[in-house]
Order: sequence, then structure tokens, then C-alpha cells
Amino acid sequence: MITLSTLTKKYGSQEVLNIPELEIPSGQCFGLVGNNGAGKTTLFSLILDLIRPSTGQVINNGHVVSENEAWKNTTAAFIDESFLIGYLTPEEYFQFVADLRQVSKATLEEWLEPFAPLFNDEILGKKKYLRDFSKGNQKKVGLVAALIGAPQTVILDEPFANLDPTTQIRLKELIQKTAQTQHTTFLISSHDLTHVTEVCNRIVLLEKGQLRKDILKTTETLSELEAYFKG
Amino acid sequence: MPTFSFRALNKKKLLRTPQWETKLAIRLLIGFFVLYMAASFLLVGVSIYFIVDETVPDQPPILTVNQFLVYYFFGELLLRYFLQQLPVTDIQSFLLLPIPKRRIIRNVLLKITLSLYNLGPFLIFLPFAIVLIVKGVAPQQALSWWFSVLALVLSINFLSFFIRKTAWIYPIVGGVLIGLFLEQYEIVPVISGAGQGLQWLYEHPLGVLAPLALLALMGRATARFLIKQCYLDTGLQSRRERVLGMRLHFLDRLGEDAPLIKNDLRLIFRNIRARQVVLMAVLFLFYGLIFFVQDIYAESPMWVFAAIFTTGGFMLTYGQNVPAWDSEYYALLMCQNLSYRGYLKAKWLLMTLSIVVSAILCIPYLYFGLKVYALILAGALFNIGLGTFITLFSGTANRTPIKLNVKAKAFENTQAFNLTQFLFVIPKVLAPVGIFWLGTLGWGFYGGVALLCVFGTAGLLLRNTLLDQVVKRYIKGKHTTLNAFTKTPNV
Repeated sequence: MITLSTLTKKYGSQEVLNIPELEIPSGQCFGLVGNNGAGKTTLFSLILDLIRPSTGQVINNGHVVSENEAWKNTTAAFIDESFLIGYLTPEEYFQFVADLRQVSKATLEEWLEPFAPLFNDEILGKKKYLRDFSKGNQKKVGLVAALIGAPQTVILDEPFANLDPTTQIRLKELIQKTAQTQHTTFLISSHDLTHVTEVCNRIVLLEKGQLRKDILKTTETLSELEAYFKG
Repeated sequence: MPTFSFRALNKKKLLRTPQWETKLAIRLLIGFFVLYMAASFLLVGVSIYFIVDETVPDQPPILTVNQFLVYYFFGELLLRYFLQQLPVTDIQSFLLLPIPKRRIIRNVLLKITLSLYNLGPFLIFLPFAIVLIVKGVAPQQALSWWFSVLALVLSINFLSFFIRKTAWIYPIVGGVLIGLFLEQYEIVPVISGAGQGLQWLYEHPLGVLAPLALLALMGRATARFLIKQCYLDTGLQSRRERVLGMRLHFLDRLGEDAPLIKNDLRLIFRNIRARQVVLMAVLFLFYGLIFFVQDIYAESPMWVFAAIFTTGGFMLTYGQNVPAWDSEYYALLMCQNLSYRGYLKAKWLLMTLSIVVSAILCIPYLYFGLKVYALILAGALFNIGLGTFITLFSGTANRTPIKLNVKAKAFENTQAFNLTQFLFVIPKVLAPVGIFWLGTLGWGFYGGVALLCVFGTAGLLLRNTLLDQVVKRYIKGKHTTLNAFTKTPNV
């Protein structure tokens, strides 16, 4: 479970995020939507202790993230390319993450097998460094690596952007399946309202750092969001 | 209607590089350094005449210089080949704008020509030519010779970009080696023949037209060549390297530190910038040759410098830029199941390994006596026990991100430089000298060696406490470092 309380982030006098209270229970698929500058990445960065809050705190699994590093044992994320190590091959990168998460080589290889359709023969065994892969394939590697070792919480920033249609569909299935079988908590931000409403069971809408909507998904959610963004 | 100007863009690019945006004090320091280098070159330029005149008295200095110039040109070609970079980014962003390709290329050529690498003729050979005139050589003769040298240097400048994209460097190096061989065994005097050619240019001022024609030809050829390179799948394509297989299973016995150490080794071998720096670390191994061979330095504090440098090369070059080496993916490391302690311990272990390996590679120094090697070992122990921790500690002050797979430009290595880090040189390099000196006061040479060992051992025994202090400092600076590393470094 992740709890945010009186969380704000200011740069100078400009407030980019202000969330008085928010609770994300375990096993929830939490979707975050909002236009550019709404504060989505800021929120994720605060949860991952990549930036320091101006006030308030984030409690992940009982630990205040800015005071204790224990949340790292249960949380994984893929935010952007800075989460990839460019000079490794995909195999080496997976192994690196697996090593840190205490997953053995054999277990990793077995675990990777079902991803063959997602990888579409373009990732493994290519003898290529990650920095030489296309943006889309880099993203696939980062997303899959975030799932290694069955973390309790997975945070993905814009996971659908830059992916081809087939992969987008497979990724949706992957997230839903993982959430169901492992009760993983997913935090997903997206500009794609269709995808995010399909995958998530709760949608939070940010605008200019403020929480504008917090809805449990129903059949009307998509049209409600579309109406909001039409302005 | 406002007209587009490359000059305005170039000016912005220059003024907005991170070097300009650093603090004034550092800017002054770098400026001072540049001036110092320029002054040193000038001094060399002025004194060449007199040095050469003294060492080779039986022929006019200009002849000696001309004979030597061939080697200089070749050295410059190699240096440029390995260090100078084609400003590719300057091409790509303009391709779709309504600017003729020829104009883009002209701008690139101008930039290449104004590069710092081309200062040599001005700083070294112009003063030499002026000394020639002062010594009574006809001005038109000295100056036309200088123009010839300048034209040849600029031709080499263009040539280096040519051969970058082809495999010409091998025939050129091979050709020079064969030339050296033929010269050595006096079969065909190729090299001195080239020297004679330069001498001919000196004796016939109008001959300057030949190098100038060569320069014009090279310039045109380079322009044509570059125009052909203006496609995403030719010159602008980043070269894809073959993967260097590194399984490194033998490191697995290091346990939890293994993944990070493997990663660091891969980082070093697979990234241009890291390779450059580590190559420098290897050169540090030869530092002892300067100090251990000369009697005036015998058993002096200079020996301690040498001992610290020969074994601590990797620590001083690579170690100094921890954690900036990981700047490209620092956010990943901060989110992984990995504590700062684990991260820093792996770095410490890697530096320690490098010091041990260096100490073993230094065994040939035994040739200069047991005392030399004893001091090297004491220096190694000091580096392991204290030097490594001081290096890691000072790393928190270093927040300039490093682009791993991009060659360093001139002065870019100073970019990661800052005053705080500079201050840490004192405990790293000067303190051991002081400690040694204190020891010698009481118990002679071996007293100094022993005292260094005592300090090193103490650091080693206290390593957990020292590491804790370092970890504390890193945790305190985590967000500042992350913020600094997400700023794109200057390409």
C-alpha cells in the first residue's frame, strides 16, 4: 500500500504538485491521466524518492521513502530511458536486474520464455547493445525488466507510448494478467485514455498539480474522461 | 527580412556550453590553465631555435626542425584521428531547413578549421619563424615557410576526417613504419627525403604555393566527401559496434558485489570515454620511470608521489569520477533493490583490485632497488586504506554527468572538475608525502615507509566506519546529484 499525505512539490514559488491525501491499496491497478505539465511524472518521481517533496511524505509499504531505503525491495519502476544501461545487451541488463533482485540465472531464463511473442525475435540473441536498439524495443526491455522478481509494486510512466499496436495490446494483457495472478499493484500514467481505462480499475486525473477526479472504473469512465479533456 | 546566420548560432552554442555556466572561480581557473598551456607552447616555440642549435650544432636549426617535422605531422595525424570529433550534430539539425547543403558543410569546415587542435602552428611555429627573422633570415623566407607548415597542418586536419570514415589509417601507419625501416637501414631515405622537401620549401619562398594548393585540394575534397555523408544511413549514422562478449562468470564468487563490478568492467570496456580515461590510468604505471631513475630524486618525497601515482592511477582517474560514470542511469540505480552501501562498496572493491593489480605490475621497478619497491607497496597500502575512501568521499562534490560513449573534447575532462574536488588532492597525494617525511625524520627511509603502512593499515581496519561516513554523505546529496545528472551533458 502506498499512502501520500500533504504532499506538495514547489520549484521556487511555482507549485507543481499538491495532493492533500491519496491512498493506493495493494493489488490496485492505478491509472494516472492528465495533460502535459499536470504533474504525473513528478508524482511518480516523489513516490520513487527521485525528487524530494516540499512538504508531506510518501509511505510505501510502511516505510517513509525519503527516510528508509527498504521500499526498494518491493518496488520496481520504468520511467524513461535513463532506467536502461546503454552499454549492456538485453540479456545482460535482465541479468543485472535479476542479480539485484536475487533471481537466479536459470529462473530468469525460464521466466523470460513466455515473453517471446512480445519480443518478436528482435530482442534476445541479437548481440547488440541497448543503446543501439530502437526506442520501441528499448521500452520493451525496460518494461519487462521492471517485472523481474515479482515486485509487489510496479510503476510505469507512459508505458504505451512508442510501442507498436501489437505490443500495446500484449502489454495490456501482460499487466492485467500480472495484476491478477500476483496481486501486483500497478501505477500507470498514460495519455492514451482507452488503454488506461481498459487496464486500470481506478483512474486519477491531475491538472496543474491538483487532483481533479478520482474514480473507480465503470463503463462510463472513458466517456467521462473524454468529456473532461474536450474542455 | 531577417537572414539566417550560422555565426549567431555558433556564438550561442559557445556561450551556452556548461563550461561558461560554471562558477566564476572555476571559469577563471580554467581560463588560467588555458593561458598557462598557451604560454608553455609559446615558450617551446621561442626556445626551439636555441635548443636545436645547441643539440645539433653542425647544421642550421631550420634543417633539423624540417627533418623532425615529418614525425610531428604524423603524431598530429594520429592524435587527431583518435581525439578530434566531426561535429555531426551540427549537420543533422539543419538538413530539413531551407539552407543549401553546401552552406551547412562550409560551416562544418569552418568549425573544424577553427578547432583548438589547429593552434599548434600559431603557438609553436610562428614564434620559431619570428626567431628565425630575428636571427637574420629573410622575412619572406621565414614567413613563407610558416605558411607552408600551416597549410600542411590544416591539410592534415582535413585528412584526419577523411580517414575516420575509411580504413586508411592502417596503410598510413604501415607506410610510415616502412618509411622508418627504410630510413633506419639507409635503403631509401624516405623520411629525410620529406624533410628535404620541407627544406626546399624554405629555400624557395614561392614554393609555398604547393602546400597552399594541397590545402585547397584537401578542403574541396573534404567538402565533397562531407556532402556525400549528409545522409542518415551514411556519415550521420552512429557506428554500431560489435558486442564485446564479457561473461565474467569468474567474478560471481564476489557474491553480492559481483553484478556491480561486472557492470563497471563492462562500462570501462564498452564506452569510448571510459576507455580513454582508463588508458590514462595505465600510463600512470610509468610515472615511476620519471622519478625512480634520476639520482636527484633518490629517496626524496618525490618518490612518494611516484609510489602513489604508479599504483593509484585507476583510483585517481576513474575513481575520481564516481558516481558520474553512472550518471546516464543513476535513476535506475536509485530505484533498484540496491543500497548506497552496496553500490559504494563495489566501487571501493574495484579500486582496491586495481591498486593490487598495479602493485603486481610494478614488480619490474625492483630493478631500481628494494627501497623503490618497498615504497611502492607502502603507497599501494595507503591508497587502499585511505586514498580510495577520500576519492569516494570527494566524488559527492562531482555532479557533472558524463556522456559515456562520446569522445572527450579538448578541456572536457576539466568539466567534471571543481574546487572541492581539487581540495581533496591534498589528503590524497600530499598527505602521504607528509606522512613519509615525518617517518623519515625519526627512523630514516624505512621509518617513512613504515609510517605510510601504519596509516594504510589503520584505514583498512576502519574501513566499515569510513564507508559509513561516505555512505552518509552520498545519501545526503542523493537528490542534488540526481537532479544534476538528469541535465543533458554537453555533447
